[in-house]
Amino acid sequence: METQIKTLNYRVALFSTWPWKMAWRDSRTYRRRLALFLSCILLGVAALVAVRSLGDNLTQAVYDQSRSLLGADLVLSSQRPFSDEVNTLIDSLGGEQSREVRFASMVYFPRTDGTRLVQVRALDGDFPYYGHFETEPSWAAATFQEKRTAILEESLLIQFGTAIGDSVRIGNQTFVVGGRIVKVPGEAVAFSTIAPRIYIPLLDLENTGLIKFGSLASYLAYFKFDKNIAISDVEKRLQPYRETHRIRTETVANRQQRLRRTLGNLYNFLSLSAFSALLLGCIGVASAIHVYMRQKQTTVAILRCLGAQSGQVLTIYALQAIALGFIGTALGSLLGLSIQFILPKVLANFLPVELEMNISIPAVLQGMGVGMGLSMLFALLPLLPVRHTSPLRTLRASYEEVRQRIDPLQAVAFGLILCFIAALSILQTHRVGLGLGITAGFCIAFASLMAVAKLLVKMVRRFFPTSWTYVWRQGLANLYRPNNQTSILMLSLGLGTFLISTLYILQYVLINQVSLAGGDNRPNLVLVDVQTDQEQGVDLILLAQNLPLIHRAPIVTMRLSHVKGYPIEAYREKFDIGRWSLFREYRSTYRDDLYDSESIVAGTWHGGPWNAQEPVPISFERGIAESIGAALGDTLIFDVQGIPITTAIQSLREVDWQRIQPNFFVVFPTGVLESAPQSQVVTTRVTSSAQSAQLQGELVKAYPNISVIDLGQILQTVDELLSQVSFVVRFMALFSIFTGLIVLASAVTTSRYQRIQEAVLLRTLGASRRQIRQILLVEYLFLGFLAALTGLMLSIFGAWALSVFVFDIAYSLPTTAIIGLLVMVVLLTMGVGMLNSRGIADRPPLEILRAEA
Amino acid sequence: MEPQSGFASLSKVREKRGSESKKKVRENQILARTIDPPLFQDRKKMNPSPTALAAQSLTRTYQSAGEPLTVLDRVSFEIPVGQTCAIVGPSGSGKTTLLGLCAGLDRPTSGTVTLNGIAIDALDEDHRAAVRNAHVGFIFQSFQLIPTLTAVENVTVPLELRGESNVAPRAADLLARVGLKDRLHHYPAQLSGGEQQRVAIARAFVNRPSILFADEPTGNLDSDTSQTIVDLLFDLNRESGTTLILVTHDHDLAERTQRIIRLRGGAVVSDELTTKPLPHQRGH
Repeated sequence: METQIKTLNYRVALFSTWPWKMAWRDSRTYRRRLALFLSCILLGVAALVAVRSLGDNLTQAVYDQSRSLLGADLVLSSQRPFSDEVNTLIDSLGGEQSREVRFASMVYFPRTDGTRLVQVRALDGDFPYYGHFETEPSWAAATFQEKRTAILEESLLIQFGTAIGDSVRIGNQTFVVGGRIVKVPGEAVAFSTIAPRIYIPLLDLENTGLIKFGSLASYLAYFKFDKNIAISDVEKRLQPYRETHRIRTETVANRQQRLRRTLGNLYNFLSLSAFSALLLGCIGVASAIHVYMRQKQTTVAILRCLGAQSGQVLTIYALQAIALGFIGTALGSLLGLSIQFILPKVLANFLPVELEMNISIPAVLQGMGVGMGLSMLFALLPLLPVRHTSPLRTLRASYEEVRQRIDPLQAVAFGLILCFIAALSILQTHRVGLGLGITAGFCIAFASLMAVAKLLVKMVRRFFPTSWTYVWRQGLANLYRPNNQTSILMLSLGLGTFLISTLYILQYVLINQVSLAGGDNRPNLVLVDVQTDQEQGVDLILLAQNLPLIHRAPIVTMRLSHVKGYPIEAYREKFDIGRWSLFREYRSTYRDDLYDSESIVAGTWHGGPWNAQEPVPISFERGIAESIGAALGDTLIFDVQGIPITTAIQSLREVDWQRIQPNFFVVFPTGVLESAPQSQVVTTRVTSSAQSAQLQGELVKAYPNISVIDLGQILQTVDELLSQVSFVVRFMALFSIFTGLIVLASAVTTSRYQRIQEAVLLRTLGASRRQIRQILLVEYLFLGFLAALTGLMLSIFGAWALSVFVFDIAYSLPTTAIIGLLVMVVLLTMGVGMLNSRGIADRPPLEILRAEA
Repeated sequence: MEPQSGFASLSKVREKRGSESKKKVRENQILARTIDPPLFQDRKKMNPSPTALAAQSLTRTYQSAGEPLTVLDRVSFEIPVGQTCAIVGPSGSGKTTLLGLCAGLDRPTSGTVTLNGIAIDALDEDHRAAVRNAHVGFIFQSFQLIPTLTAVENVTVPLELRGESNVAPRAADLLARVGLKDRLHHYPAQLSGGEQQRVAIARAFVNRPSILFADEPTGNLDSDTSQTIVDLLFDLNRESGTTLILVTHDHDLAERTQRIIRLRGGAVVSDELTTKPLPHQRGH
């Protein structure tokens, strides 16, 4: 009977019109306030919709432009020139064909006497067959092969003050600059920062004199087939050549898949940023509703007194929250649809496809669904206690309910929130472990931010400076007013600050690390591909410029053919070892002594020449030995450009890869590889960029095949790349900051009545409006300061942990940038706070005496 | 009714609660009635006992700084249907606590409250809410109108809670009766204290309660306004024959009731009838 009555009550609550009517009436005088609550989730939903929409559009673009992403139906590539057998095969495949040789080289700009390491692409044929090779002037792409000109990356032209029509020297050949690259199909602009591209006709490759036997280069063949030819058939024909002739094939489908993976990572990052903004907004909603419900306690008590069931009362406020959530998410999606047109511009440098942004209905529905679901679950947390509001409050204003420790329904809501976040993360990343990790990450990040915020608030209260003037003390004390939202504000503003500042610090630390690597007397210039016959000449150039020769290491390229007696194919299948470490090209060296960047961790170093029989005692880098599953004493057979050499691992080394110097996976003793085809790496140290330029100039004129890697240039490249990345991250972090500011605005509005009351009281006691404004200003100053401090403290710690434990690099702090960020957050907080406090200082006291606003 | 006569009916209460199963059956019958409007409307038939409210050995203790604090100590009395009764006593004597317990806003630490024959101390909060909605009206010192509702909307709440429709005209009639014909659509903040209390009185009577609780109804009003409010309260009470329980400091107000229960230190120190005619004497 009793349960029957209960269900009757809930049925009454849900299906009778009264709670709906009451929810509507009750919201009337609060709508402005309520509007701000809903705007908390506005940005989160907007970001989510924009990112999801971008994701859908990206997928569509990758699908639509799949052919132009590769520029051909099939690409064949190899790290060595195609053998005659392969060439015969290529000819037999038919269709339209283009050939390309791609390699790194120095180029020389006579006009400004500048040199730089670039990626040269010697092309022959009509590639790309799909999509457009865009150049400026537009005809340059079509005519450069015929006119024997070069097409250069725009950044090169700018850097070296070179214009179209000027000349550029690559190896022994001088080219006229025929145009600049605007867009190569399937390639993102960001990657051209690392190695600027130069296109030259393949016909002129030989004249450059850069490609010799053993030179590092990629050889490519592009195909366009008739429509009736199935690519899978062609692939089948190529299959037998893949291992034996070390060729790789890439089809449109492969490229599409690879691109999806890369873009997937980008998309995941953006989604997570959007998601964290939404989470912050939801916490803001929960906090705002909490305050709202406290203000509604008397109304609830009256309703209870008049006989309203707990279910009915809960329904009233749940309906309000649902309505608000719906409006918030709807407006958020509208905003998101506008933002989505900005995103492609923000990401322009990272997108290899042409994006045409269309409104994606699934994205809108998903964004709204997630926003609605999550915000309502969060809203339940402060809504559920309404069931326990006692009608006794009508008799005693100060009545405090004896609260149960844990409300089981609240615990369920909390559990649902966690499940919801975990489910979304798993769906997003398609990986259970990663999804759960992200959920844990969110929890840890939020919990630590909350903990730091609470600690700071506690500390300030504990060490309250009693000697300060009244205005300052009152401003600070305001942070502790009843129903304050200090912690939640510190959380949301702090998270944004945390994201931005962590990124700043990491960028700074990384750059610092690269410059440190070239510090003291360490080398900062690396000469690659020095041929044996150029050894003396290079020495002379260094001597003439009074530069030290710090390292000289011979490099012999080789591949593994047998491991522990198995041919590598069989070995890989038997032990399930990754392809990369087994099939890669090993660039090994030989010498008698250890570098100071190396240390033996197992076995003994073979110092001195080896004159005895095979197996040759070699030293392996520990990590790579582990990845091929080899241990001390195992025998390996290397194919050294056609000649098998049997070796045995005699020592394992730990290598400090951070140093700018030639480091190797495999070191042979002397006396074995001397006669093998080889080149050298030489390092030296310059003390100024002028010295570096002079050396590069000399070298490129005398030995154009030698590439010079300048630490200064690397620094610049790293900086440029990180700046592009951090621009995107900062853009997304802004959603958190702005969400924080909206939560602030809503918190100020929520406490407006209380603030007016305080102000009137203070004015009655003789405070001037000026003083009241000052008090408010001090309050926001402290709030902003503490919030920024929360984020900064965590980011300083987080970046330290990342530097030390993940990147293993020296830690340092960009003090100026951090202080700048702190000031920015404080000013923003004060600005938004004061903007929402307009009129508080000069409300007439009578309004208060009339009670309820 | 003399206070001693209360002991006579005490045995009845004991009888009622004698066996657990009997009690359950009774409680269920009552609940069934509270949910079913047609039945309870004819409440005279439903409740043959002439007792509107019976408190039996009511005790309420609070935990204050870890120490148990007894605010109300074994208070017993019975109020017959239609009687007006004032509970008086100094601040902290337990008046408001007693009112809260009798009206089912709170549960006693021990003892029983029987309201209209329903043992409300045994019910959970939602069932007590149903009982309050069906049988009880309230008037508070601080009016306790819902600030977001207009006067007429405030008055209709108890009826709407019952699921009744087309209730606005009835509320408007009652507001006209308390002299607020022109204030129907004003919000509480737009009304004076006296006007707000008149809206509260209209709300208290709108569900035709069998028992009305008033907590210092004139505590926040000036003396002229108080007079009007008190007259209105007693007039309406007389018209509807409602039992009225009044908590007050005001001796003049207490003297207008038929019975005065004095509390001190959480215990009843005196329980006397005044010179006002008792309900059974009235109209006979």
